[in-house]
Amino acid sequence: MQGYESPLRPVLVKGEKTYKDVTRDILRPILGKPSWLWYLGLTASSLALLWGLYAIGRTIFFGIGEWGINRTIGWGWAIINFVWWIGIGHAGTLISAILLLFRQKWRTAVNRSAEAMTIFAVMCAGLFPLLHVGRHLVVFFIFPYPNSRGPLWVNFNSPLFWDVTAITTYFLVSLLFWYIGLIPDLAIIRDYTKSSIKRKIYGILSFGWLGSLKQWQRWETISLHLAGLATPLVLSVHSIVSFDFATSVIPGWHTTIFPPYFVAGAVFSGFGMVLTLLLIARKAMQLEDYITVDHIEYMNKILLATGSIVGTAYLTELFIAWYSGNIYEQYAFWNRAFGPYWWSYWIMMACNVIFPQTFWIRKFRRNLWWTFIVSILVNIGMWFERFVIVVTSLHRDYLPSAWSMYFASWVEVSIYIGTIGLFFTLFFLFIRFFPVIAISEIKHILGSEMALLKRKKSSSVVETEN
Amino acid sequence: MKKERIFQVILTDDEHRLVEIVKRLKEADQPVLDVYSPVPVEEVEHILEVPESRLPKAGFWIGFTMGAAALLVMIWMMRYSYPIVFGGKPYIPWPSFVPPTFESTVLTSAYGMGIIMFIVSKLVPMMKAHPIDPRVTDYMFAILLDENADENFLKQLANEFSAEYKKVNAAEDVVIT
Repeated sequence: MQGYESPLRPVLVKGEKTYKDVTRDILRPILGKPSWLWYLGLTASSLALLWGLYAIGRTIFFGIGEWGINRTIGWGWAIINFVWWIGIGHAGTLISAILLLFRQKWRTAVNRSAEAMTIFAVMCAGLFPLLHVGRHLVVFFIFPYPNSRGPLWVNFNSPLFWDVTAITTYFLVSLLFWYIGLIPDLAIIRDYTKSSIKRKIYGILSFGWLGSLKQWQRWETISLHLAGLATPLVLSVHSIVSFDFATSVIPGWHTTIFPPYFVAGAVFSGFGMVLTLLLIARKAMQLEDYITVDHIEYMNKILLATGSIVGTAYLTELFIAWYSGNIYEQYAFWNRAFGPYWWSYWIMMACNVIFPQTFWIRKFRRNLWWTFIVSILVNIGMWFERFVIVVTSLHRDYLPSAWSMYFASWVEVSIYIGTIGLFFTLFFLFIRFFPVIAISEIKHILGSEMALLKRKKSSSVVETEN
Repeated sequence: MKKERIFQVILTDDEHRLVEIVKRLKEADQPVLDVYSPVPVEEVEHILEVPESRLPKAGFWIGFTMGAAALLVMIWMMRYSYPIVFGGKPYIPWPSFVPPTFESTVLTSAYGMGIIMFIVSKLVPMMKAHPIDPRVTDYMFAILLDENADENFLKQLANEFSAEYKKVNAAEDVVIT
C-alpha cells in the first residue's frame, strides 16, 4: 500500500514523538488561553468586516451606482475580487485531494488549515456576484425551479450559470470533505478536555465518533473517494470561472489558453495565501515540529511550478496575439503592457513571474523570511493579474468614443477590505476552536516517520564509525 | 436509557502489539466484536476479514442516476418545456450541458456517500458518544470482546503483551457494524 520509502526523504515530524505528544502539542492552543495577539487579530479583522458590511449596506441601499464601474467597464473590483478569492480557495482542495491521490505524506500537516481557507475564501468570493447583480431580491432566479414566468428556465448555455453550479458544488463538497476529516479530531477534544462545557460542545460536533473499526474503514474509503471526486472538481471550478471570460468576444478574453492558465494561477495564488498564513501560524502556535522547513520547501516548489506555468501562459498570450496577425488582438496586448494601465501589467509580471523564480535556488526556498515576502507578492501579483484581465480588456471598447477609464470607489475598496476581514475573522476563530493540524492523520504517518528517524539515526552512527 | 451489557476489553498503546493480539485472538477463535483506535489500522481489518465498504458503489450509482437526471431535466426544459433560440444554438446544445451535468454528478455522489456513511456508522449530530475508554481517541487501542469470551485466555494474553484487561458496562450499540 505504502510503496517504496526513500531513505533520503526528510522526516516530516521533528523530534521523537508519541501519539500523546501529538495530541498535546496540537490541542495546546485550543485548550489554553489565547494570547493578546489573537485578540488583537480578531478585533482588527472583525472591525474590517464591520466596515465591509457598512459598504455592502450602502451598495444594497443605493445600488451599484455607488461603485466606480461605468458603461464601458461594467466588471470592476467585484469580479476581480471574486476570481481572486476563488483562486485562493484552490490550494486547499489541491492539497487535500490531489496530493492525497499522489500519496504525498507532507500534506497531512497543512491540509486542515488549507481546506479551512478554501471554505472561507469561497464564502468571500460568493459575496461579490451576489452584490454585482444589482437586484438582490431576485437572485434566486438563477436556480432552475418550476416557476410561473412562462415557465421560463435559466439559460443552460451561459457560463455564468455554470459558474454558479460549479462554485456551489465546490463549496459544499469542500465543506463535507473538511468536516469528515475533522470528526475524529473533534472526538479527541471531547475525550481529552477537562471542561464540561467544551466536552458537551465538541460532543455535539463530533457526531458520536468512537473510532471503531468500521467507522475508520468507512472514513478512509470516503476520504479517498471524495479526493477522487474533488480532483476533477478543483480543475473544473477555475476552468469554468475562466469560461466567464473566454466564451465572450472581447480581445484579451477570447482565448483558448484561459482554462489551464486560470487553474495554474489559482493554485499559485492559493499556495501564496497558505504560505502567508502558515508561516505566521506555525510561529505563533509553536507548531514548528509539525510544519517544518521541509514542508515550506515543498510548497515553494509547487509555487515555483505553478508560477512558471502562469509565466509561460503570459508569454504564450503575447506570442499568439502577434502570430494571429489580428491587429485588434495585437493592440489589446500591446495596450496591456504600454497603455494607460501599464503599471498594473508590470506589477503582475514582477510579482508572478520574476520573484517566484528565485525558488530555483535551495537557499531561497528554505528561507522563511524570503518565502513570506514572496508569498505576499504572489497574492498581490495575482490580484493584479485579474485587474489586468478585467479592466485593460474592457477599457478600450469597440467604439473609440466609448473608451473610458476605471477607478474604484471607496465603497468597492471597502467591500474588498470587508471580505479580507471576513476571511481573517473566520480564520482566527478556526485556529482557536478547531485543531489546525489533522491530528489523526499526523498519527497515521507517525509510525513510518519515527521508523525513518530511527533508520537515519542508526545510519549516521555507522557513518561516523567508519 | 439504552440497554447495557458487560463487555471484556483489552487495551494497549502500541499498534504492533494490537495486531499481534488480534492475530492470536483470531487463531484461538475468540470473536472480536470491535476494535477502537486513534488511527485507522488496516492490518486489523485484513485479519478480521472485515468486508470492503460498499460506499464507493453507492456513490457511483447515486452520481450516475442524479447526473443522468440532471441531463434529462435540462434537455426537457430547453427542448420541450420552453424552447428558445439562444444565438442560433440548437435546442439541445449538448456541450453546454456538460458542466452542469458534471457538477450535479459530483455533488450528489459526494453527499450521497457522506450521508450514507453518517447513517450506517451511527454518526449523527448531537449523538451522545459513550467511548469504552476516553483514551482510545488519544493514544490507546481497545479490543472489544463478548462477555462469554474465555476470560483466563484474555487475561493471559493481555499479560503476555503487557496490555490492560478490564470488564466494562457499555451500551449495546457501542459495536458498529
